[in-house]
Amino acid sequence: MSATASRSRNRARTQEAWLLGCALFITAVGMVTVDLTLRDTITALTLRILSTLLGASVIAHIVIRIRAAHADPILLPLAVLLTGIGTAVIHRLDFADELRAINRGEPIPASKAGAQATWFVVGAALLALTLIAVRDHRRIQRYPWTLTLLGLLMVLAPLVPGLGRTIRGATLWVSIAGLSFQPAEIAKVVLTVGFASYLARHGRALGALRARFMRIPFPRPRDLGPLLTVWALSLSVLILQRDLGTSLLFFGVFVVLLYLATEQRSWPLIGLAMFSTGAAVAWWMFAHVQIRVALWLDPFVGDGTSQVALGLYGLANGGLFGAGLGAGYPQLVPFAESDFIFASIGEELGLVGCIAILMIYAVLVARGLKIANTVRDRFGLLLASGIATVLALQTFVVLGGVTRLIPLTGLTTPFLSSGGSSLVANFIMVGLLIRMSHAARSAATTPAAGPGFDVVSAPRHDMAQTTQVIELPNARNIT
Amino acid sequence: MNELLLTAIRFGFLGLLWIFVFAVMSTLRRDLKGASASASSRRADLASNRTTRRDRAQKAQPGGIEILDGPLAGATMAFSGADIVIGRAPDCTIVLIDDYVSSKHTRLRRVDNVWFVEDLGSTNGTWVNRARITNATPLSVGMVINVGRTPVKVTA
Repeated sequence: MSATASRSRNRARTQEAWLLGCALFITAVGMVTVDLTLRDTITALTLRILSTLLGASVIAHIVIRIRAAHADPILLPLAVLLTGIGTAVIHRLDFADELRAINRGEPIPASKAGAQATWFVVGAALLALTLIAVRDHRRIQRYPWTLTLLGLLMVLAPLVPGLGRTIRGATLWVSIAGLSFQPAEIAKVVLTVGFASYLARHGRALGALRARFMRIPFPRPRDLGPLLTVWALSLSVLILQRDLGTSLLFFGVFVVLLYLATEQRSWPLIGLAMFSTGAAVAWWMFAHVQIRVALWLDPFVGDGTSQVALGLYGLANGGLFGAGLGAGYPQLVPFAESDFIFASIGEELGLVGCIAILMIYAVLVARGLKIANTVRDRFGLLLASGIATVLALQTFVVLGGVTRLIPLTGLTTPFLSSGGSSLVANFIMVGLLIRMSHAARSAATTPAAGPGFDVVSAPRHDMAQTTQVIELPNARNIT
Repeated sequence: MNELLLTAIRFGFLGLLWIFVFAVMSTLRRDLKGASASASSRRADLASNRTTRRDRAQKAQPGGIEILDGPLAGATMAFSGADIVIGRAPDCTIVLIDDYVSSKHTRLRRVDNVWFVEDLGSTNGTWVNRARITNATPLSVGMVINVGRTPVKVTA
């Protein structure tokens, strides 16, 4: 390794350490503010949560230093900060739950913030494990069918009698030995990898065209097969599990990846048409979809206490600068710590805080797309964009639902929502992004050393083709 | 708790949040600078590579290949000594997007300073001068190797 490469590696890791410190400090200030506002003292739980977050972050950072030294320095700090703010807000809602339980004479519920911190440890451990187990991201593209099938089984697992649990009308949970889990969240990662590997291999063939319609070339009917399959599966998730969000997410990611793999503008149009058809049919056939749409059009119907309306009151109460952590009434909204955590943040941190959170999401997604642009292989391009799409789409769908831009669908807010499955899945995705950014950046900073050849010139038709050309041989495929 | 202190913390927290966002932005900006620096150094590498190619041209030794048609048309690359596997599989040295190419189609390899082309048992064969090759064939400058539907020219 040359001197420049190691210097830039150290700089990236130093930046990461600094930003990680800032993220943890902000989390600490948030947690302490909650305690001081509601308890006048710093609780032992806060100290325990903060030390847990610190320990897990440090371990993740050290593993990145060893296993992915060139990786993007801002991915981990962004994820940690979002988790930290989420934990602080959940901690604040725990106090409200505690008070409510005392008033009703019920036993005090277990701390969800404490659970969230524990799940963060699991998430950080799986991130580290991803970096250790996946030495080269290109290796995981070998099993497109296995992974896709596995993902589908995971999505449909809650339907198995005796295994699944129906909570709030959606059959999403799997319960094993008293631990309930949302396999769809993990399936999100597995399916994104599966889709990316399938399209990296067969995407070009699907791009073979075409009948022209309105000057846009359309694919051959038989190439519609994969998209129709995913569409049918998304609809079956919607019908059988009554889960709008998950079905929308899977279909959306597949359409985006199909577009990137084939570079044909017709795919988004076809996808949009199929989505509209599916949505219209779902609205026509199912009462639970009709209720969501009706509450979107008029959330203040009746006595004005629908979940959406209460969330909007909370956001309005927050105003520009928010009530301050612990000083609002976010607990009045049902599921304030999971589905509606953004409304809680809006009430206590205000518009200024909300925009800061949105900026963090935007940077995270932009970094994902940047990795897609710099990684040298086609699978990496698709996987990184797939992960960025999952995060972007999920954030958009949830925040759009809470702010009444679109009808509310049940999805978790990435990193913020209380809930282990979602947090763990998101950290695995960050781990994959870190792995790919290490590959992309070490190739960019290390001058062509060892065996191999340099691409002297390549026509820049488009990004995807260029990544093909620059595909550097490494020690393994030369032998 | 002191009202004034809480208000200070309240705004302080928002301030910290935005300081973090700007710190991230400045990291991105520095990263951008670093990237352009490394890109220019890579350009310098490429320039030096071009001169070595010109040196080789005087001896008319095969020094690289150029893809003449297909999505990668115009792409050129210089030999470095390592084998070059051409095919459709993602782990090939040169990944061709051509339905007529097998996953591992053709290999270019150097034996005792002479470059050879050999077919790797492909379905549609590797063709040189309209003949399907069966043995390792030595490369010469100007020779065109047909891999599937993609012509690859040997350059100096």
